[in-house]
Order: sequence, then structure tokens, then C-alpha cells
Amino acid sequence: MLVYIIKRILLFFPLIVGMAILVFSLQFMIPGDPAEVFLGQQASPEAVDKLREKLGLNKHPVVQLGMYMGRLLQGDLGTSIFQDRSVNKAVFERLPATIELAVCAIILATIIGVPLGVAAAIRKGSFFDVVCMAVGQMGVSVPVFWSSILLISFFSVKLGLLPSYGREMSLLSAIGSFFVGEPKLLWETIKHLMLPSFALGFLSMAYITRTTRSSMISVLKEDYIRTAKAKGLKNIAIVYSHALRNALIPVVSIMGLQLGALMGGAVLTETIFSWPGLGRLIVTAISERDYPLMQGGILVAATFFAVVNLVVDILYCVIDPRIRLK
Amino acid sequence: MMSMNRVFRNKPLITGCVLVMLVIVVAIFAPHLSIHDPYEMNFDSRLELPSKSHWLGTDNFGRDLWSRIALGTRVSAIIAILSVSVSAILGTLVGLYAGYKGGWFDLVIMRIVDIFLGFPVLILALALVAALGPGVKNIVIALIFVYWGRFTRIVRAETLSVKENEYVIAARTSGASTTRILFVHILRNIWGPPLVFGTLSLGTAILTETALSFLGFGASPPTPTWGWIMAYGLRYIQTVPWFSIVPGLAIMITVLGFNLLGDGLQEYLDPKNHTL
Repeated sequence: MLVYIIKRILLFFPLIVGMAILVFSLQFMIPGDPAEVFLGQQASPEAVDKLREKLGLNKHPVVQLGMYMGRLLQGDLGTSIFQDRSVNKAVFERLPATIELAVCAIILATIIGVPLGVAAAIRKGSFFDVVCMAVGQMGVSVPVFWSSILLISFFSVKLGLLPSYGREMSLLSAIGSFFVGEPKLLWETIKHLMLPSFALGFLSMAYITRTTRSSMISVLKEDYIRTAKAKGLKNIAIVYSHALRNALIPVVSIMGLQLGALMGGAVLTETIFSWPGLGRLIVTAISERDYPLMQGGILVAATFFAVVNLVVDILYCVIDPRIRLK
Repeated sequence: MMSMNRVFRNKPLITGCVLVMLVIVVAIFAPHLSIHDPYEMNFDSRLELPSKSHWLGTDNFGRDLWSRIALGTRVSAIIAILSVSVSAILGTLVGLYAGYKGGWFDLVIMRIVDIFLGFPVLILALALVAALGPGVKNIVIALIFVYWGRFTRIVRAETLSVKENEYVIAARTSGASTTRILFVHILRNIWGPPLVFGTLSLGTAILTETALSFLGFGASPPTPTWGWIMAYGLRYIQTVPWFSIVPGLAIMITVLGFNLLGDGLQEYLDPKNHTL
């Protein structure tokens, strides 16, 4: 197991370098002169020349790549073209909001998905199981932006219960303010978080339900479950202490992978709910043709995705005794 | 006969087939399925609810929503089918060769695949469309970049699992060429998993394409795309939520069709479900 973990970590660094090279190389796919494209047709030739100089576009591509990688090694993602500030600041200012949204989404998805999957597996073939599976199948077929729209039109427009856009403050600060006697702020923050995190987590919930169900079904067929039944254990003890603990191993893996994948979904949810996160920053940067900002945003989002995948792989080894004890 | 029985007992396969056929029929006959011109504006009938003359109502320019959604089916179907088939062919060729030959080619290709798979799908597609510019052709290219590696990984793994089988060794010792071994002996025995993945990918490709056009990076207006219609609908969500809900239904039915078809195919091709 240790060898596998070390190998996996060693492979992680070339992967990040490769991803950085790919993100950098995207600018060579831009049709025409990138500096002209970034500034638009109305830009003066002087401004275009200045930008070309600033971004180092007049140097040989290999030199440009070397400079880019050199800067990255120092932790510098570049400077935004239009905001005149460092990409690091812009990106890392937004990242916590996205992580908060993604973590809330995955928690919601797990709280709902795991019990649904377990209940469906226990009553395999029943009406409840069929309904759960139908919801699961729909969940993986529904576009994130559509579920967002449905939620807004029902909970915000029709019932007027929850706000449809914006973020009050960070959840951690809101929890802090709860303890200093401002419970209203915490409630407002949670209200703003509910719709976007549910919309974002809906797809993950469907995957978690499906995985829990199929994993539980196969575990419930195992010999040790039959032994537990033969010993006369109560059904609830068999399900929760014998079956679920083993069935959760693949579920943990799916949860982790979904947490990473939520970075993609966050682009849509954040745009619809005006959530000030990294996804919305990337979309705005692309619309404004702020290339360094877009590159930085995408690289950070992808690195987050890769880190989560790495952690999930390692965690999978650690929690599965069949792999751990090898 | 047994085989046909297995097809008819496979509910996801049948339901998926029906939904996909429906989508394909709408995509092919889109212009003939409505009496309205999808581009014709009529400011006297803006944002109408469904009626006899406009089955699904009208948009903010008074254009008939049904005819626009029907034409949008064509755009989405073309993008998904084109990008997934090219990725499947490319990924299969590379995966077969890498898996069979091994060595440095395999090593280099798989590290490149790791890089492409290291990005969340929508983020990579967005990054590519940001560089290439919006439009149908560029979305297809972006989706090929997103999906080829996924096919390569699956086909390579399947190739590795069969390449030491007796029939492949027998073919090699009897002097069969590499091309013949790859296509006649290996590919014929491993096509199931990439086919299932391809079917499921058609669904995710449509989700990605509609997401890109929803964000404003899709086919250029006035070409109707599902994502674009929804993005417009979102502006009127306070007054006419119907406008953004209908195109979403079209997307869901299509993606559901491909997902069910993929699940059904997987069940059908799984040897564990074969009874003598």
C-alpha cells in the first residue's frame, strides 16, 4: 500500500506541470494575434504593442513557457489585464466561496443520498426502490442550470422563502457571529447557501444514491451477513453495523470524486446564483477576454480537482482493509 | 429468439431506444414539425403561454418556442454525435495501439491522457472554447479534446486484459499483422465497454454543450440552441418561468434517453446476465 501511495504522490507533480503546460498552450490556439483579440478591434496599435510586451507575447513560445513556469514555481499566476491586480489575489479571494459551496453541496448530497440508497437496497424491487432509482436516473440527466432555475422559480419566485442570488458572508464567520450573539446573520447566510448548494449537489446526490444502493445490494448478499442473520441479530444492527460500514467504501470514493467534479458544476451554479466564487470569476474572465485571469482561475480549479482525486485515492487505500493490509 | 427476449425484458434499453429515436426524428425533421418559422419575430405575441397555435408558447421576441426547441435538438444532436464519434474513433485507435504495444508510446500517451483527465469536463471545455472562440465547430473540437482521452483509457485497459489471451497469441504466432490482430482479434472482443461509454458520453456531451451555450459560448445567435433559449428564459424567470423550464425538459429527456440506453446496453452486454 505504501508503495502505491508514494507512487501516486510522485506522479502527481508531473501531472500538475503537464496541466500547467496545457493551460499555457491554450493561448496558441487563439486565432490571430492574442494581444489584439484580448483588447478587441477598437484598441490602438500602441495599446496592443504594450500588452504584447507586457505578456511577453513577442518572445519565442519556448521562452514564454519557461517564463510562465518560472513564475508559477514562485507561486505567481500573473497579472490581470483589465483589473490591474495580481491573479493570485483575485483567484484566492474567490476560492473559499467555491469550496464552501462545494462542501455544503456534497454534505447535503450525502445526508440525503446515503439513507435513500440504503432504504432502496433493503426494499429492492419495491415501489420505493423504483421511485428512488427513477429519481437517481433523472438526477444524472438534469442539467445543473435547469435544476437551479426550477429551484429559483419555486422557492424564490413562487413561495418567496429563499433568496435567489448573492452570498451574505462566509459560513465560518457567520457561525462565529452566532456565538457572539448575532444568530440572524447565520440564518441569513444559510438561507443564501441553501438553493445553490442543493442545485449543485443534486447530481452528486443521484450518484451517491445509486452507488450506495448497488454497493449495499452486493454486500447484503455476503456470507457474513447471512451469519449475522443466523446469529439472530436484529435487522437494523445487520444493516447499520455490518452491511453499511462495508458498503460505504465505494461511496466514500464517489463522494470525493464528486467533490472535485463540483468545481465544474460550480461554474454554472455560481453564474446563476451570482455566487462570488471561482467559477463565476472564470466565466467573467472569459467574457472579458482577461486571459491571464482565466488561465489562473482554470489552473487553480483543476489543481483543486487533482488534489481531491489524489486524496480520495489515498483515502480509499487507507479505509479498505483489503488494500491496507496487503 | 433468446436474444430478442433479453432485449424486450431490458426496460432501460427499450425506454432509452424509444427516447433516443424520438430525439433523432425531431432532429431530422425539425423544420417540418411546426407551422411556424423558428426565426420569425412577432412582437404582438411575446412571452405567450402554450396555446393551440403555439404548442409551447413564445419567447421574448414572439418566436415560436416549439419550432426553436425542435431546431435546437438538431444543433445539440449534431454536436454530440460528431464530437463523441470522432473522440471514440481517435481514442480507440490510440488506446488499442498503446495497450497492445506498451513501451514508451504507451507511457507517453497515458501521461498525456492523465493531463486531459485531470480537468473537470466543463472547465476544460470552457478553457478550449475561450481560446478557440464560440461556435458549433469550436465546441465540437473542444469536446473532442475532452473525450478522446477517456476512450483511450477504457480501450487501453480492455486491450491489456485480452492481449495475452490464447487467441491473440495464436494469431501472432500464425503471422497475422499487427493491424489484423488489433482490429480482428482484439477490437472485436472488447467493443462493449467503449460502446456503453460512448452512449453515456452522448448524454454528458449534450449537458456540456448546453452548459457552454447557456454561458454564452455556444453557437452564435440567431441559431437556436437549448442552452441559449434557457439563458434568455432566465431573464424572465420572475414573470414567465415557463420560458426557461421547457428547454430544460428537452435536455433532460434527451440525456435521460442516452443514459438509459447506455445502462441498458451495459446490462445486455454483461456476460453475467446471459442465461443458457
